[in-house]
Amino acid sequence: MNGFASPDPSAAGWPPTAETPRAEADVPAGAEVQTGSSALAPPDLSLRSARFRKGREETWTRLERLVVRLEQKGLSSLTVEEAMELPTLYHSELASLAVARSLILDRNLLEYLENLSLRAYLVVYGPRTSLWECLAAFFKTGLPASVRALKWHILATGLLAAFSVLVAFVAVRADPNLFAVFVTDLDDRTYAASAQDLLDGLFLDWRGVKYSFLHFANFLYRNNTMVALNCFGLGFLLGVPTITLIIQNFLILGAFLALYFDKGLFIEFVGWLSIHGVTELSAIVLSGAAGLSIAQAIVVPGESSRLENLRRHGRHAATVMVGVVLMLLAAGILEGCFRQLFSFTILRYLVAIGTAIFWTRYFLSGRQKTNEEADATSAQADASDRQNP
Amino acid sequence: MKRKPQNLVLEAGPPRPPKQPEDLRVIISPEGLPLAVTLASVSARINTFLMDLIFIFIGVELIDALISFFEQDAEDAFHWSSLFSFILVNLYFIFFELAWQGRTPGKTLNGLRVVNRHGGELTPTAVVGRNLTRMVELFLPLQMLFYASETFGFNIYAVIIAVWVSGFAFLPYFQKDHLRLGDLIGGTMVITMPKKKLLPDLSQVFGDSLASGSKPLFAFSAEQLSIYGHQELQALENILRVVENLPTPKATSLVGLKVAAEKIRRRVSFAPPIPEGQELRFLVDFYTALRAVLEKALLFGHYKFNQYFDKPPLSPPRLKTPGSGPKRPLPPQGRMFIRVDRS
Repeated sequence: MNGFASPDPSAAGWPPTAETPRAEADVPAGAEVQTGSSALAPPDLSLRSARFRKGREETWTRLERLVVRLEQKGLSSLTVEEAMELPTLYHSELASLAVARSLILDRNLLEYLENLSLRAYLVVYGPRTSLWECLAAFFKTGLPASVRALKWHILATGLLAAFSVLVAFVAVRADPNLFAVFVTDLDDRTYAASAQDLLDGLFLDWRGVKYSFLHFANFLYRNNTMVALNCFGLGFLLGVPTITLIIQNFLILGAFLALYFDKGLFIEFVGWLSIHGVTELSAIVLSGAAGLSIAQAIVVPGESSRLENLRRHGRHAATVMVGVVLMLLAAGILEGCFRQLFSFTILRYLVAIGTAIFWTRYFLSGRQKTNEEADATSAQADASDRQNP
Repeated sequence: MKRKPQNLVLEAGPPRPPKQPEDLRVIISPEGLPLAVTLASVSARINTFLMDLIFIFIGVELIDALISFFEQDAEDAFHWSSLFSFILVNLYFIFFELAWQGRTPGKTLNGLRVVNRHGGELTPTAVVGRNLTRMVELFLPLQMLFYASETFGFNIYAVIIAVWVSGFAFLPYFQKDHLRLGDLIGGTMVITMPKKKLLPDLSQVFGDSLASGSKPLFAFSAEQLSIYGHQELQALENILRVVENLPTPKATSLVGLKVAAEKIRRRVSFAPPIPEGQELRFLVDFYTALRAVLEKALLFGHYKFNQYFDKPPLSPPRLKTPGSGPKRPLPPQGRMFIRVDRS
């Protein structure tokens, strides 16, 4: 005999409530009740779930209405009373769920409560900072702090880039035939070109605002952003393609430096390059560093798991990449417009030095304050990221 | 006493130990209550992504149309639209996931949502991070395949790179939490959260369509109600929910109802035959009585999974927070499971 659910007369109708008569008492006299067994031992048939639901349903629907509004229109759509009511409703909803899980076998009711609790949870513990606060925090502390957090990766990428430039420079100067090896898509700028042609190429005419912004800067920006995003994302392939991309791009730079050096146009070429190059090349180096930090999280996970490491490194890398995209926008405008506008080498150098100072100061800004605070905020962010240690 | 499985409508197949659902995860709310979340399946996510791509495509076409309306010069128009399309493609996901709390239009339509893997707030950094990788996940492999195609001469290196790189796109298939590359960086996961409606209680819903109103017509003994368990109750609930949505004359004359009622009648040894047209009444009465009895048993700590097993399926695995120290056992859930002794 299955000892399950034996009717216990002493426990029948528990909890005792006057307004919920037992089901068999509902049958009016005269109605025919069919029974399947001769020895009739009618069990207690009062539905606990129905009673449970009756008392609480109104609270649930009120909460659901609030949650739907919040999901669609955000926190500002609530009145003060509603905003104050929300936590209370949420807590009573969670209490309902806890009870329902241990008492209720109505699946639809359980699923509804589970669903509503999760939705309410996501709303109640949802993001609380506004877009403007986010942006302000990003520019004020977030970006510089993340760049500084990647300082060793930046150093490594920078050294790699400098080394590539040097190698190409020395190699091409030793043997000009190597120029075509490093620079694969050749244009007019080769050793065959005359110095005058090359010089003219460095000082092109201003072709109007529309061409500069819309055609040239636009193209440069899209192109560079794609390269930077690839540089970053390919960090997942253990960083190998990231390193290759960095080396490849800076070898080209070194080859051109050698070309213009040999033609006696070094000063002019560096001016032509650095007006936007300071911004653009540092952005590329930053994206390479972000890619390397991703690679490091996979290759050398250290104490925590790879997944957790990726999340931690990813936070800084993603912040840096947003900065990179903005820097490339600036670089595109500098290259597309101002390089043609400022057709004097000395002006170009001034702009280059100005941008260099600006970026350095910006990335080092807020350091004294954040040295202690950054630890605190990052610990805080960590804590808010996982409220369930 | 070991029961032999018979030919039953409400049986869970041949007896085998209940399986743990694979796509369930648990986040613990700050109040300490475990909340179950369902991971979005890979196919649902692909579906969603394609829908979003269609929306982006429509957006790009709209931009094109608008620009060609305002800008007469063909070349300028091309540059304008390339710029705005670039911005749209790159900011679409980031914008919507920030503004709509982890949802894009496609995700909203499919009931998917991006959440923090650890149960915390979905930060803007996480949203940006998870969308920065789309370039290498999708556009780079496509670009490489394009280069590898006939147009540029068959390039074996491009093919190799394309195959290598496109491995990213298949990561969700191999990752047990269906995480995409961007989810790894952002510390996020995608869950499915279709809205559930609170339907009327089944014990009361059929009042109008049944001859005897909401009054029960059939009564069952304790022994008859001690056979089935939780799973069969839910199977019966499913049947009744289907019937609930049908118009009244059709509902009472359903053939399936007759079969189900007859099988239950035999299984629980209910002696008198069920009168014609009273099958729905029988099922509703049996459902109500069974639920009442099982719920009461639950109150005393007795849980019965189905007619073969007293043990419930294992509770879903808790989301691991890697690097957070030694594993802790699952917190006690609301329900206590006690094995019923059989004599």
